Order: sequence, then C-alpha cells, then structure tokens
Amino acid sequence: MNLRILIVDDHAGMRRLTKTILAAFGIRRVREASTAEEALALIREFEPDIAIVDFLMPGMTGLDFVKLVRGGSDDPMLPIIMLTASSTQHLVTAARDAGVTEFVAKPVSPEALRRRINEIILHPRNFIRSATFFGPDRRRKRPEAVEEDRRAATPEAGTPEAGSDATQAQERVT
Amino acid sequence: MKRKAGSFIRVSEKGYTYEEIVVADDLKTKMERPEGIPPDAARIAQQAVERLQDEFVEWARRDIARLAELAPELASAPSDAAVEETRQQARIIAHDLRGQGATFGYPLVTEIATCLGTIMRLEKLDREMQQDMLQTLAEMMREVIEQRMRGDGGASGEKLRKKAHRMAVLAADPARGGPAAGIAG
Repeated sequence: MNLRILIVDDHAGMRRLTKTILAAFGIRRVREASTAEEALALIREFEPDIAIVDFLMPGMTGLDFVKLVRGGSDDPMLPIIMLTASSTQHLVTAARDAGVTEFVAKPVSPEALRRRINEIILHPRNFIRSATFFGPDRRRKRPEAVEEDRRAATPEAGTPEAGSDATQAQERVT
Repeated sequence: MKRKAGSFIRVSEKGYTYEEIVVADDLKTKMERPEGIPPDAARIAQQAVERLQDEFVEWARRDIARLAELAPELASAPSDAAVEETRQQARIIAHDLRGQGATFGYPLVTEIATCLGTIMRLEKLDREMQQDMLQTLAEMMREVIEQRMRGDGGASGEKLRKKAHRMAVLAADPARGGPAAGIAG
C-alpha cells in the first residue's frame, strides 16, 4: 500500500498509538512530527496523502497548523483529520472555518479512524474557494453528482466557466 | 495546484460567486483496495492497541508526575503570564491523558483528566484552590494507574469519579471565581 500519512502530535505516546493503528490497517509509510512547524517541513519533503493532527499542542495549535496548510503550504488541499478531545460547537465551527477535512473524537478508536480515512479515500471532498474561505466542501452531494463532477473535471474537459453545460450539471447539489 | 483535477465557477443561493475545485480521485489507487480499509482491520488494530497497555502505564506515570510538579509551580509562578503558562502545560497534559485513558482501558483516567482540564481553564479561580485541585486530581489518576483500575474501577473507581466531578462543580461556582455550576458533565 502506497498511502503516506503524516502524524502531528506533541505526545510521543499518541503518535505511537496512531502509528500502531495505521500499521494494523496496512499503512506503513508513516512519518511523525512533534510540532506543527516540523510538520510543515515534512509536507514538502514527505508529500503525505493525509495528515492526522492533534488539536491541542504547545506552541502552534492544530487549528493554526490547518490554517497555515490551507493558506500557503506546498499542499493546500491536503486532507487533514483532526483528533480532538473536545467537541463543543464553538470548536467544531472554528475547525471547519479553518478547513479541517474530518474529525475523530478522543479517545481514539481504531474503528473511528478507519471510517474517517475511508471517507477521505473513497469520497474525497471537493474544495471551495471564495473571498473569505478556502477549504473542503462539507456539504454532501449525491454519489452520481460527485461522479459527474469528476468526469467533467478531466483535463480533456477543461475548466468550465459559470453557465456552461458542465457547470449547470454540477449545480445539482443536494 | 497539487490534487486539483478541475474546477467550476458557481454562484451560491445568496448570490456569492465561488470556485469549486474538484479534487483528484487517486487515493484509491494508492490504497490498492477499492473498498478502502476493511472493517476487520479495526479489530486487528484494537488487539494491537491492547498490546500497548503496558507502555501506556509508563507514559501515564510520566505525565502524572509532571502534573504533580506543576502544582507547586502554579503556586510560586511570579507573574500572571507564568501562571497562565503553567495552566496551559497542565491543560495539555490533561488533554493527552483524557485522549489516551479510555483508549487503553482506563476510562477513569479520561474522566478525571476531563475534570482537570475544565478546572485549568478557569482563569479567575483562586490560585491556591487550583493548585490544590491539580495536586489532588493528579494523585487520583496516579491511584487509578498504580491500582490498575481498568474499566469503571468498581466501588473505589466510583468514589474517585464522584470526587473529581464534585471538584469541577465546586471550581465552577461563581462565588469562587468560576463561571457557573454544572460544567463538569
């Protein structure tokens, strides 16, 4: 399996736990960062497919890290799973505004992590760029609409502009 | 841009224009399994996690010992900034213990650490009281780990759980500088 995952957590124990779970999933191309700063460098060097990031870390928090990735890293559309022990509405809203792709609540269970990774692999979210936001589209579309998106978005089809047939086809957002 | 397969310009119901970027669908290929990670892998992972329990005990011991050290540091911190820095360290350790406890079969550690995290967020709480609670909750977690109180910990565990929740409610009492009662949840 060639999937590459970056774990960002200040606690060595949590990194070991996450790595153990990923190994059991068959994912062995894993790198670890103990700080958000270190993780930003690894995005460039290791080119992960997914990052798993702890919310609360000393120095730069997980949320700060997500904002930096979305705002100006080498891979602004990197799927990011945030591990959080708290799921208050305030936090969830802040995390979504920052551009978090998926959440896993602590205590981390292998099943919860499996589901979120599968969600990213099997149903990748499109991204939204507006004047005030850049991040994953958290609305869910019908599977056939998602498939239409992908077909229409092939390089051969080019990049449709507003009002084109392809764009109108994509407006069927559920 | 990396991962971009194409994009569309759209107009929202409220009239805002935005770009929808279609993400390349290539992770399934890297995964080499069209169905993703199978459910059975989670069961195997759970068994692997259980084999880490002895290591968790060692991590928890170190974290709890650090919490116990932070209590006197909280009392002697020379400035508001130093107090907040100490509280932040305690919050981060509590957050880690909260996240790991239940994963490794120690939900009592998770509950006590949750109460500690709540108390360490109360900036206006009397500093001596906060120090005392930090010391006490650290000691309670130490007891859970040293006595190997897995699961609910039986009658002893219930006593510790109630005590931790009472402390969190007490700390939240507005008369003592807390925001409100009933935050311990």
